[in-house]
Amino acid sequence: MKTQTPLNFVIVGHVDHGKSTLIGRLLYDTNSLAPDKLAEVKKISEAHGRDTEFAFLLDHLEEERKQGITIDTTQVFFKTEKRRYVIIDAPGHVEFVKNMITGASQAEAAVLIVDAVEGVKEQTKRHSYMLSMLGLNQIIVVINKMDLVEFSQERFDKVRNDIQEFLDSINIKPNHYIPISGIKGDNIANRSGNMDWYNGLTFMQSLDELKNNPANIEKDLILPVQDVYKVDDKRINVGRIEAGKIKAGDAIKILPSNQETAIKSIEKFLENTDEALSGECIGFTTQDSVFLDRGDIICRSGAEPVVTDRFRANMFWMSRKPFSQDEKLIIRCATQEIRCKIEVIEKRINSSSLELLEENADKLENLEVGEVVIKTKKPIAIKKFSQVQELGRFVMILNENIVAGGIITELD
Amino acid sequence: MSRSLDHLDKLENQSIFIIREAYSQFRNIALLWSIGKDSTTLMWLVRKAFFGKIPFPILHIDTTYKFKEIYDFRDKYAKEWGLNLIVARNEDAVANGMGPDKSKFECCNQLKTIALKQAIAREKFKALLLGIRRDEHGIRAKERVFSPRDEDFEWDYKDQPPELWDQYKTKATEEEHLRVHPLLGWIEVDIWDYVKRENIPIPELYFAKNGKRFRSIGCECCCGPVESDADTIDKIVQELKTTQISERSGRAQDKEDDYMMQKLRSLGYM
Amino acid sequence: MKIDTDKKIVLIGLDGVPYNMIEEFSQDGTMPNMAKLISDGVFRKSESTIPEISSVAWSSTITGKNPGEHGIFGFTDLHKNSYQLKFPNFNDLKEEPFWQQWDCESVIINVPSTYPSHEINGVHISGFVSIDINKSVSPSSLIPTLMDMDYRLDVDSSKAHESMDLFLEDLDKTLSARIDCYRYLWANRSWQFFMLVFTGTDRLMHFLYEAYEDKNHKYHDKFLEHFRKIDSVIGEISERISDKDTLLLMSDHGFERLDYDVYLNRLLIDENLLSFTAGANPSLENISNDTIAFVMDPGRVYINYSDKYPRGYVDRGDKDKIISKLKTLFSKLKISNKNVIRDIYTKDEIFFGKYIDDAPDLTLVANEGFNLKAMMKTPGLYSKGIFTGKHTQDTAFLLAKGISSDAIGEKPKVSDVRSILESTIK
Repeated sequence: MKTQTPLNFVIVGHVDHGKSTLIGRLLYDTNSLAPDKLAEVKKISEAHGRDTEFAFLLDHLEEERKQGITIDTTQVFFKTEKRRYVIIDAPGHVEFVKNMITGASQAEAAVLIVDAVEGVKEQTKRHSYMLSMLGLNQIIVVINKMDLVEFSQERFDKVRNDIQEFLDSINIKPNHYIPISGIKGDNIANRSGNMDWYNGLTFMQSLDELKNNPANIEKDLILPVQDVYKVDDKRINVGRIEAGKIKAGDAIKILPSNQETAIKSIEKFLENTDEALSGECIGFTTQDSVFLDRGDIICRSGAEPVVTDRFRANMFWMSRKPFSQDEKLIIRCATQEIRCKIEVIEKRINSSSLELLEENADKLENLEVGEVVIKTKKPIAIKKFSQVQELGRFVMILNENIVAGGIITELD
Repeated sequence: MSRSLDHLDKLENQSIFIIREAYSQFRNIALLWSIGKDSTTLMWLVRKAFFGKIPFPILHIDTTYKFKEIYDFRDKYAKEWGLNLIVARNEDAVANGMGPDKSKFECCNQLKTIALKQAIAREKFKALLLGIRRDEHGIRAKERVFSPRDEDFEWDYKDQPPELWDQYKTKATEEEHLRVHPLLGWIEVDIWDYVKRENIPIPELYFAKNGKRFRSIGCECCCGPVESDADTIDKIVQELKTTQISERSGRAQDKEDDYMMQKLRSLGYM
Repeated sequence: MKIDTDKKIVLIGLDGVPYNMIEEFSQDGTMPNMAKLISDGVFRKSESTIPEISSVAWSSTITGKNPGEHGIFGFTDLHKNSYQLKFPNFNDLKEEPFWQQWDCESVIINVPSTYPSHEINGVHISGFVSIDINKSVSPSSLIPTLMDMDYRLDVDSSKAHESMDLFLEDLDKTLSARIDCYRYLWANRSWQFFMLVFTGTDRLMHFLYEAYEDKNHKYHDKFLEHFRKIDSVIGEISERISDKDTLLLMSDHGFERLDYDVYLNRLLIDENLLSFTAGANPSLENISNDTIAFVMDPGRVYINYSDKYPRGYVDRGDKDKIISKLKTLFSKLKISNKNVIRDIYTKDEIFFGKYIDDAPDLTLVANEGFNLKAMMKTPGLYSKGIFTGKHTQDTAFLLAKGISSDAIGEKPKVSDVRSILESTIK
């Protein structure tokens, strides 16, 4: 029997809106807590009142307990009858947005949690915006702490309308809006007896409806070269197929040099294969002795990504040191790594309020989004993010650290 | 025909991608091989990534207190797989009789941590491949795939670089080295499923003998066996699915400190 | 050392109970058995260790040694060459407890800082901070019997933070179980040395010292009840021993009212002597590399020497200068117009032995009412929390029957208990 692929999802939302409690509840209701862990958590949480015990499972580090917030991306595992899940618990504190992005970039779906009492807050918006930027399109909104608003439908509708209005403005269409209580368990695994007015799915049912990311097999071939090895006098090029498939004999084109050749062999250790699919890390040799190097993009003639040195992007700055325009950055897109500069910052946007802060700006502060024009020193092979995410997204490096992430919106 | 990648295929490919990223960025790296099932699985993946010819050393930190089976296993496969094996010991501490009877922490510190520090300094490794998994222990959940350590081996888990879209922090300053964790996203059952599918050799200690087996293997003196009749991988997987004891429950120290802290706190002693 | 075959030695600890409280309770009828022992024996005020906390005081009691010799300086310490916290336990005690050197069978129940328990000739059940029952009892074959008695390693003090009633209920159950355990082992083992420590007294006073002082307090009677129950056990034990035997009762430190918790690290931070790496939380692990000194609970001051710590800053040559600066700083500290610090001791003044390097560079003892703390993330320099009592250094007690007053001396210390007991052995 083959093990099923788990679904990775992230839970985001404002600090203290109940992420950890919800996770604790899921683990508890799905019987996923090891007995010794459960005992440990119980012990620790006794000092803090019983209702919070789930949260302590995740807030494992003492440091966190003191702060009462989840610092970093934590992954937990549970399963329902239908499948396995990996939850990425993204933190809610404003300082930790880069951790939230780290978590969310690995997710296939997102759960946005909103406190029924507090309603939409700063991080609710910022996180939603990040989700849209990261291209996540399976989103469940849970309105938590319904027990604190007497399970009121009126309150639910109000919060739901507020969040919907914001999500509409950033083009997010959630799959569901679900009223829950993480602490009491209403509408998590079991339908709540306290909210007869709600006829939708329970949270667990809504999770089971989510779909794994489809493999990019039907798309045009994209194979970025990762490295070249010399094995027993044979030069083997290696890389991961990001889209499409490839087999021995296929004609290929190499970007940015535009050379054309064909695949001679597909190489895998201890395997004989002549075909490979999107997602596979392979070795390959070419029929002509072309010299390949890291950063080259293998594709098919007639279905190439665009090769350009100027394009438009939305870039999210996540370094405490603000970006000033004369700084030279290095862009990394798949395995390509090229010096670049930001020619224009057309708009500087507050990622939480979406307020336009400045046009034609010359800087970006931490957690701000810029609509920018990027000029690379050498040509780079790219796609629009909406077409092929793997070649449509990038990070920026400054002083050897990742300081920004971005998606390509328009090609020049 | 519609071949597709299953769960283990996806994990395998992701790990190979990470291994190749690490080598591509640094060249001067090593695989830290504890000879346990995780790091042996990692070894298997590294062999796949480099077509059987691993272009960097395999580092074994030898506390001199390992199970005999571990040494035998190491030497057998180092030979069979043509590994460039570096065995590192803190010779001074060994000569001075360091052992768990002194203090368990000090013993680990001297024979593992310091031995590793010495080896990194000597060989000037810029990155180490480690077989840790997120589901092992609470604190592991905080790990990044590429995780910087400063010269004191300290891990600033509160201020880690972002990781997105398989783009990692792949440069280290002079003082730092990076810990690279290709198995981070695997869980214990995945490892066993994969060991079985690939027929990866692992030490016999994992399999039950006389009603006991080891769930994790380190030094002989600090590892306790668990009650078990699982003498095949299938039975081990079955056991994992039915009994839920965290893997390192054999390694006791972890949780006690937590309790101690809580108890002292509740009396205002901290 | 060999105890006469027809002689028994019994040592009863009442953790944290001050001299004046014993005096008061023996006069007002709360502890009649104690009163009787006082009139028949030798009753003295005694001195705790510095610092005056159970881990250090009991370690000195059972070894007769200075912390510099036995190596325990607090409930917490740092791993070598690191700022990482460690929790020293019985395995870290560098000197053997005296019962190991007495050639007799012993029963040891609930002595703090003796976890994990060690195999001995007799029975050893470890005390605070004991975590796992499986590592707290030797021989382990006793565990089922203890479980049957509903034995509890310790009061669950976290309950006091939720509900005082729950806490008191647990306190009483723990005491009852402790008594059952003592009775069982007293009767079923052929021991010559018996040591039993009551630790609930300390817990009670931490949370409800005010209930002792205030006769109208809701829990005043509960407070007395706990002491009455212990007194009846003391009566029972007095009855059970003969004139040849030795009985010694003691506390490891005293107690008094707590007015303020005082956060010494806060003072250091405010004076720019302690700081943390940029953006990091205030904690030991995040100490910046220009830190001069830091404090560990309760009032242990450590200089951040460059040859001792990974981010050490201070050169040994500057030691005198820094010590004098710190002394001035601490001695001037005033809250509500009162001096906070009573005494400041340098290492050499109070510690000696092989492990003196691990000792704090300065150790502070507070004036009445001030409780010294090392918390780094604090609301301010001082505050008042849930605790209403605090330890004292110089008001512990010692009460002996069957030992001459010469052997005890006028002002005994807890570290003298060993030699006092051994004076009754040939």
